[in-house]
Amino acid sequence: MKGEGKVLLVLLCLFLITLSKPDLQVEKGRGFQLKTRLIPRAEMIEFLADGYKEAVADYFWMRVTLTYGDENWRKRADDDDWRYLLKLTDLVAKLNPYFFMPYYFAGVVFPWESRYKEEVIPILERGMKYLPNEWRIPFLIGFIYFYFLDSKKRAAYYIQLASEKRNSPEYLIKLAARLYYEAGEEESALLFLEQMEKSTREPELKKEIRRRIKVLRDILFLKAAVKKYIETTGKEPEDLEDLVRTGIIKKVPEEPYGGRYYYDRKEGRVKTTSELGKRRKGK
Amino acid sequence: MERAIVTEGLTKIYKSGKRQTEAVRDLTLEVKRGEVFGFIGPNGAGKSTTIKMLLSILYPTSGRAWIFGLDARSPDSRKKVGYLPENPRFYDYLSGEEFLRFVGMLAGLSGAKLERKVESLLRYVGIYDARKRKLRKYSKGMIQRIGLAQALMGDPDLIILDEPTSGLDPLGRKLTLDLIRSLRSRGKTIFFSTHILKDVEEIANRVGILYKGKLLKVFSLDEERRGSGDYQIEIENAGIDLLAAAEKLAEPSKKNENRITFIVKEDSLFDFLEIVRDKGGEIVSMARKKRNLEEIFLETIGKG
Amino acid sequence: MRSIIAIFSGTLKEGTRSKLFWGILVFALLLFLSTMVVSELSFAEKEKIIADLGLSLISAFGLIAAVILGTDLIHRDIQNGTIQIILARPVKRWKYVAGKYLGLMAIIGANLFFLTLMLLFVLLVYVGRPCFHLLRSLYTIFLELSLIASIGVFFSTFSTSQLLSSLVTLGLFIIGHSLDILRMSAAKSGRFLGFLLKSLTLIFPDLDFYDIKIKVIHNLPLGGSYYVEILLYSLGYIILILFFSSLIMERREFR
Repeated sequence: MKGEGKVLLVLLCLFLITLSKPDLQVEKGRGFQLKTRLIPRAEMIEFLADGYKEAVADYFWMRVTLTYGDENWRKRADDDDWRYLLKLTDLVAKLNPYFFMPYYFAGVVFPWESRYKEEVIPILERGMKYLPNEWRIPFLIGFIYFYFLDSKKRAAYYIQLASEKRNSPEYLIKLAARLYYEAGEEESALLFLEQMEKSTREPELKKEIRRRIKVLRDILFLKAAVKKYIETTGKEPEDLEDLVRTGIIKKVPEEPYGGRYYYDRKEGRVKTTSELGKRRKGK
Repeated sequence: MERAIVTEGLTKIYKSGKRQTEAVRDLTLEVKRGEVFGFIGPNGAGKSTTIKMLLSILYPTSGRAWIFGLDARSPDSRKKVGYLPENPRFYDYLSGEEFLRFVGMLAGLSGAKLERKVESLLRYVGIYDARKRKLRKYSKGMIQRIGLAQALMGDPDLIILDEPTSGLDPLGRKLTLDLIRSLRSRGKTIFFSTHILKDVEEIANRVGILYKGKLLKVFSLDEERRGSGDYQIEIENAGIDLLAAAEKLAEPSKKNENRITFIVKEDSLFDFLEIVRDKGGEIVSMARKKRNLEEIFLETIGKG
Repeated sequence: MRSIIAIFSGTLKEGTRSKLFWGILVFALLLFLSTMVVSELSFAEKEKIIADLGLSLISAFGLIAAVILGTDLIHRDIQNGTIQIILARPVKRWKYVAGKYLGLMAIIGANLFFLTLMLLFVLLVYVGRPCFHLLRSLYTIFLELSLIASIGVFFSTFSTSQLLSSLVTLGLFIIGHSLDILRMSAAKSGRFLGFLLKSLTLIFPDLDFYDIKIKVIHNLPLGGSYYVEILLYSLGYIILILFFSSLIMERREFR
């Protein structure tokens, strides 16, 4: 074949490849979504994998991180997707129960980004059994009970457990005590979040937590402003702009999730319009 | 095309790190159509390397070669060429028949024509009865024969054989040499390499001597052997005094019952004949002694 | 053209008469039967388990065949010297490569087809109805293996160790299935390494494209143009790889 013919052939091949690639990637993405939904039964895997449990656990853990790391998946995930991701995480934790990451991932991600909060607790409790020296696991359980499930008593119990572990931060004891005395919710939540921010190394997660910290700080700030407004005017504000007009605050802070802070007259609380950063409904 | 093979400055140099090995150096020769050319040299002289360059199995470092006027690097030059390598190995798992069919297809034959050719070649080399047996079950002699058959596929005008008789029993050797003779009588050109001088002596028209990669000498066997200047004289009934006198002048070579053959130099011829006549001996035969190939070979290499 | 066919049928005969080929097949069949045993462990969806394991086995054995036979084919001809007989004839070297490759793919294709039929038969017995939708997998498995086999052939044109070629080809297969992981690593790595990894993921064929097992087993639909696209993708790479193999063969010398 002459020189030109050869070059043409190579170009033709490259053309074929690049032409078909995009559609194939779309198809692959679809398959990926399906994969996280369809997980073989845990006992089956445990049986089959017997000698290689750790390797299989690693493989599934890789699937978890790849799925979560895929922005497209996060954007389009519905409840079923999250449920299966949780199942997968649970599977990893079952196959390799001494592996810390799945527990941490379960406790930190799911309650915030999905509707599965209570469901995470059994996984974490197993984690406590296998990793008895790890204070972060009972801490996470405590946080979930406190912030999402509104059970201060249980939260306090777990925080106390956490505080008894080696290397746990000192203030946990004080925190447990305070919880038992039912301190105002936002302040304690803020404390929790600040601790979580310190102990998290994942840059993505850290960013998320900082955003939530800002929301809480803003809410606390606005809460104090509202209190002052009530003290000075004797009635509740119509909306937060009232606070600005009366000069109590310079301006309403920007909500980091793109939502809006507003004053709920019915409940008498400062809230935000966006989903995240908001506590579980019902309070 | 008058000339079957032409090479010009064919060279093959192997480089390994800093060392260089010259396998073939500046080889220039011509093989005429219809002749049998014997390419001789000791092992490692570069004979196989040269042959492989002719067939583009190896590429020359420099120089060129042509087969029937076509550049040897083009596959078309091999359309009418048949090749039998040294110590050939073929596809074990094929039967003799299947293998020949395979080679035939590569040579461009097909259909009924191919089948006829396969059959005729199998018979020609005497393998017809074993044609359905797998090649891995063939004896060395049979491999040789099927090898010759595949070389003849496609009715080539030039047949190149690399050490065709090495390792063969006398029967195999005879078959091969007979085959070469018969091919020559049909106008085919044969180019074969060997280190067995006797074979070359028997069938070659022209000879090329290769030593350490260099082509030292190319000559026609017929001419060279003539004109060596010695006579070979066979005498009968030689008495002791005749023998004594004869031995002063000439070398006795063969002895057969009461016949002795002497090698007599040209300038001693007349004296010798006189002695024989005087002493009562009888001359059985007299002929010009042809110098044998071995002598030429050793002499050439000694010089080169 | 005839030369290609000649070498093609020669290769075919070589493959079907090779003990290796039959060994792989028998082994696969035995493991097949064992999938039925394994499926007993599950309480429900036996057919999905059999289908899943069955297809995995077919892929695995196809892979072994593609790697081993692919890296052996041309290598053996060169080692034995039988290639000289062929090259002494007026055959263009690229035709040699093409004929060998086509013969190889015919062998592997037949192997796959037979195993898939076995799987369908087993499922027919178990489930009572024919699961023809599984045949879609045959198509993608075959294409993926064609790609792997071409890589094996590529190495066999110049490597002197069949073991090494096989291991490298297998390694490339694994890399091809790990491109997502490489992409993630590339995003997290330093500039130089990241660039290296990213370019690797762009050049390499993404073998995950061939993985449609989930959809096939659960009888879900595939995108309409998928079949054509995956064919074009495969052809693009295969022709490119065989092209380079031919280039290498063209320049090669033989002892």
